[in-house]
Amino acid sequence: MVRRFGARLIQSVILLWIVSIVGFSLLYLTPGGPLAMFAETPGMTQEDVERLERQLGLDQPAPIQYLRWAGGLVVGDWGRSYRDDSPVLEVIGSRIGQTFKLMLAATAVAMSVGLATGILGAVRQYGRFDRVTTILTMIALSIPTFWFGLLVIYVFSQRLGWIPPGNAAPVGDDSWLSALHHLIGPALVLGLLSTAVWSRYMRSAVLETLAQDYIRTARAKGVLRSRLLFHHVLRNALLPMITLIGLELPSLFGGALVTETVFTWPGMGRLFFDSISYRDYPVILGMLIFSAILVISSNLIADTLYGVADPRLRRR
Amino acid sequence: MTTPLLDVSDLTVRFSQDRGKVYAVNGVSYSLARGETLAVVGESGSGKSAHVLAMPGLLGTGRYTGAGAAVEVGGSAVFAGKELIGMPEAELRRLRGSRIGFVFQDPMSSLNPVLTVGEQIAEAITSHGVSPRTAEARALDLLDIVGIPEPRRRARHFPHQFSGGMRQRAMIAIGIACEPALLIADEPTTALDVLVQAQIIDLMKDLRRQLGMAMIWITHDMGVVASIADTVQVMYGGRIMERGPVRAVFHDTRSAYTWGLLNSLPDAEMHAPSLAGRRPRLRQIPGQPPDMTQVPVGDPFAPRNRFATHRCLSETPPLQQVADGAPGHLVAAWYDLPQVLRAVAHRDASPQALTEMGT
Repeated sequence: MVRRFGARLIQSVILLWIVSIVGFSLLYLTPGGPLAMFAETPGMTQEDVERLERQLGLDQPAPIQYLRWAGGLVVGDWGRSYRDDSPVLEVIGSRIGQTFKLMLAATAVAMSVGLATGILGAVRQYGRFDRVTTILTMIALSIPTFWFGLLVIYVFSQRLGWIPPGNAAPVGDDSWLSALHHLIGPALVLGLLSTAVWSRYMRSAVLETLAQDYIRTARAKGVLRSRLLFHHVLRNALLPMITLIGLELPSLFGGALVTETVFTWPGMGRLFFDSISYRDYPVILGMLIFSAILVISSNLIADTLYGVADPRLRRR
Repeated sequence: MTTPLLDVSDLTVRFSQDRGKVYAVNGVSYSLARGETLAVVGESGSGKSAHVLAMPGLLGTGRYTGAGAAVEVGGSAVFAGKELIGMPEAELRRLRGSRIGFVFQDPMSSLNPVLTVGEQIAEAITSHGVSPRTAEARALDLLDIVGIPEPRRRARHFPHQFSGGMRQRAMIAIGIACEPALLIADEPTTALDVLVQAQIIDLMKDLRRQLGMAMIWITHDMGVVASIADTVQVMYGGRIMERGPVRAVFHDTRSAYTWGLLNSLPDAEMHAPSLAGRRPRLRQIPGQPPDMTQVPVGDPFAPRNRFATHRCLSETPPLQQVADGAPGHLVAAWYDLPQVLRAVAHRDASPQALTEMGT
């Protein structure tokens, strides 16, 4: 178990290193470069631009630039933003809380609604509830996030006035009720897709489990229906859901970027959007590495959880 | 005569599918005495498992079964004075595991992979109103009874940590946990290697004697039938073709299907290299099993039977006492097999030709 985790950890570090090379190279090869925007700035001479290049180390060959940057990553110096010269880690750190809050709320919605509908649908396969949820999940899977976001803002904010149209709770208002009120819209929008995914996966996992021989054995023992469902079916059907955590966290993160833009939510999504607009290379690279760490570690967590939860993978 | 433990009459099982119905069991009637061991033999799709599992409601009639096909069970099956067909699921549940025990074929897939073996045995007991503490102690006793060493340690293990034979022993412990009056064993030795098979059969024989329970043993292994059963019932196309005491059915065979089955058994002689350096071919029954999606007409085996008459194809033969046979020896056939075989032997006057009738 510990050895397995260790091996996966080493793999993860190697993977992260590869991501850093690919990410850096792609950005390096992008035409324009970080100083392109100054070319049209009135009053900037060619000398000024070259001086800036020297200052930022952009005149160095690419491998040297990479090593400087990557070396900094390891010791926790992720560079400084071109925009306001604040450290990249600080910039990300100031935004990540809001994004995590949003992701957490969306996951709570997705897991509770998704798992419950998936289980109910499977238990009464082809029943009325199952058919309705099947249609609804198909719709949810096909709706683009930005469009659904606009729809929610239009209906629940503009027409009905139930929720604020965007932003987190205003500065100075730190009651949890207000925070929750602001969270409803974006969490719902962000959670919709995941809810559908969880529901579909859970439904098929429960159906697959129900068809297993050991469920017949349990019925043959005269096990009560409720115990059959919670003890035998769910224990087995929830195992593959652990894998889904590893898959869903990254996609939720990606979805958060879009949702945040629609709801002007002060999280990572807007930071990413703004950084690209400003060609703030250190922040862009920092976010790339950050999201890579998130993806890799969520898979690592899922794998580890699997090893703990499934007795067949446990080592004695 | 005392009342039988199980009295089945005109039992039918139909599966409704997207593309019509499957006529799995088409009118099966028999009775089983207390303590009697009945072997049900037949090939896949003969309805041998379906008719036995349909009675206690294990064929997907209850919810949480995941079976896509709807099941219709008709006829009657009276177990210890109670009608099983149409009995509410809650009542069936109370019978299953307590009065009727089960042992299934593949102990790997039949045991829950995420629960310990001890837990799974104890559950068979707690499900029938016994406290968890008592059930746990009883589970350890049961592991000991079925011959698993170090029960206390093994009870904490998961099924994958057991060998195939050990898993089947655990499965048997579950089956007999509440000392049932009837144990239904659905091919319990099929997934095991031969030496383990013999051990499991011996164990089941011991348990049968100790607990005095009746058994329905579903198998396609004639060797197993000979070693454990009192009565054998040969099924084909959802019907009973022949039924009777094992000795009578094996040595005074009256159904062409039984005869084909017995002839298709490989024997040790066949595997020894013969003088000519050539081995005799395995004698198989020609043709394919019947299409169960068609409404059954006539003797289901008739299309594959060389001795079939026109009547066999159009009219279903009733299951009747063999006129000059042992008491309780029943056959469903329009032809008289011994007479047909004698006629064939006489015509060809060569034993070789007779053997080839079966190929």
